[in-house]
Amino acid sequence: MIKYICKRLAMGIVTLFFLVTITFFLTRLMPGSPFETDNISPAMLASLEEHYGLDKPVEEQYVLYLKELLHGSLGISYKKSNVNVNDLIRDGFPITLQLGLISFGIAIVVGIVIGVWMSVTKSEAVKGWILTASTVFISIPGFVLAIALMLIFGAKLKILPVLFDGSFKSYILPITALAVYPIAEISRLIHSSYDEAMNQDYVTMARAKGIGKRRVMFLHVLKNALLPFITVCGPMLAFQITGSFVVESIFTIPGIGKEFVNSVNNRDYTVIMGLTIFVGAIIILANLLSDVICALVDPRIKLGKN
Amino acid sequence: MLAKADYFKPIDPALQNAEFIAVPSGGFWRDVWDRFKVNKRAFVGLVVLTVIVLTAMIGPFVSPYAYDGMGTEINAGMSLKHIFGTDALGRDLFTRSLYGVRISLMVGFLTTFINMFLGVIYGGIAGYVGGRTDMLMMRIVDVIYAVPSLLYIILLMLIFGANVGSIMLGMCVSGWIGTSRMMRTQVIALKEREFALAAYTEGASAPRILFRHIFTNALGPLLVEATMAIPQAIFQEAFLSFIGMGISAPQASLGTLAQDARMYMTVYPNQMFCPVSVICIIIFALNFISEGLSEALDPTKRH
Repeated sequence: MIKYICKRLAMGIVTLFFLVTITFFLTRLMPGSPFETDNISPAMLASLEEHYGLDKPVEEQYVLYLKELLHGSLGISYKKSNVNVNDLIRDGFPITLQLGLISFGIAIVVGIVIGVWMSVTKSEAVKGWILTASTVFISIPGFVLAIALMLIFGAKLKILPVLFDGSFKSYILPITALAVYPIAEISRLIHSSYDEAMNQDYVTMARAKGIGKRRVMFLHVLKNALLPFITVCGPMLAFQITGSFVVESIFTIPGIGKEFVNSVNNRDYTVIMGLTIFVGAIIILANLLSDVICALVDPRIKLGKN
Repeated sequence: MLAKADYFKPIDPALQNAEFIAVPSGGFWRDVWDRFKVNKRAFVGLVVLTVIVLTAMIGPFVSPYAYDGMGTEINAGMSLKHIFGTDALGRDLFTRSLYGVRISLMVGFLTTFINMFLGVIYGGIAGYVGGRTDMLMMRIVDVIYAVPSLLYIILLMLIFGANVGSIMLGMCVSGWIGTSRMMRTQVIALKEREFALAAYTEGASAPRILFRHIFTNALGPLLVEATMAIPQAIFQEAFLSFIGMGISAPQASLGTLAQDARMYMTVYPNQMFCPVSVICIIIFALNFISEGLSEALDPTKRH
């Protein structure tokens, strides 16, 4: 067990290093200097580049960047003076995390309930309708849903605020927009893995032993049906972060996604770099966690039957 | 294997020979098609997608407007003259949407094709060779895959500019990995089967066994994977264009059209509604096809 976790951890570190390296060298490949504007003199440009250490050879810059990273500094903005990436993250990340966790939590509960309902219901009509609805919601891009919600509940019915101001009501629309896709995804996944777990011998065995219907449903079937779900939690979280880009820019939420989009549009390279590494690190960590949890709950993985 | 509706068809009296009652065998793909076409949702999806593809291919030649041609009628509503209306610069939105569909479909199909190609080769080699090579190849893939594709796209866009090319390139950096993993599992399972052994004893070379014999048997699940990857790619392009990180003016994808319409969406809802519905319809159709295909290929996997 410990060996497996160590192995995964080592993989995570290698991945992180890979991410940092490609991010660094790709941003260095960019044509032109980040300070180049129409009305800048060559002397000015040179002094700016010297100030930010861009006149040094690339390898030296890389080593310096790694050193800075190890000290926990993700770099400073080239576009806005006195702004560093750490501050941006400190200001923006809590709200992004909050929205992400709440919507993901809701998605897990609702998704599992719908998925199980789809499996245990005897009515073909209910099953068909849920399946169609989930296909519909999977087919609607996140930004379309966010806009539709905003238009319907914010602009037309005027029952919920259009812009985010931190009040309880203003949380409802962004969270709904973020939760719908994972609900559809999770319910489908749970439905298919529940059906599969249903047909296993141990379920028949449990039934034959006379264990109550509910106990079999939760203890024997659902427990096993949850395994594939835990594996996809990591990638799903990555999707949530991408989703937050859109939702934050539509509802003007001052989170990290909005900061990311802004930095790309302003071509603020160091901020893009810093945020890329930060977001990448979170996703790598989430994947690591979901794999470790999976190994903890599923003894088959420990034995190397991956 | 027959589709459900054909189970109880009366047999032609001339053929009522109790010694020999069988349906004509048409091969595996024939069976798949038979099962696919009775699945209503999948079939409707296929028809809708075909119509959209044809319209996007032929439409721009027939349309009297150019995608960047400005007119005097600005912000016109939906009418017979301008089916989707016009935008703030007087450009015909229907024509622009058609070009948008072209971009979306190109991004979807081309990236998926490239990813399938790369994935099949990489996964095929890893699975067929096996051992340490396989281990090493799969670990490399794990590393590349752990970084979300959005980040690759953003980084490549900084270098090559915001255009379709860098978006597609970014999607191809890690997009093939899902396929390669799937191909690898298929190859590992199939290479021990009798037909592979038979080909081997007949002296077929390793590439021939791999691509002629094993690949054709693994094609089904790979196709399902492809039909699921296409909507994902279309999603991603639309999303990037929508937040202003995608295709730049005067070219327009469906995402860019939605982005342009965003400012005035309460005043001119048609400008938002039309391109957005087109994306949704394309993705619906593809998802239904993918569902139908996976059921047709594997009838035990009924929803």
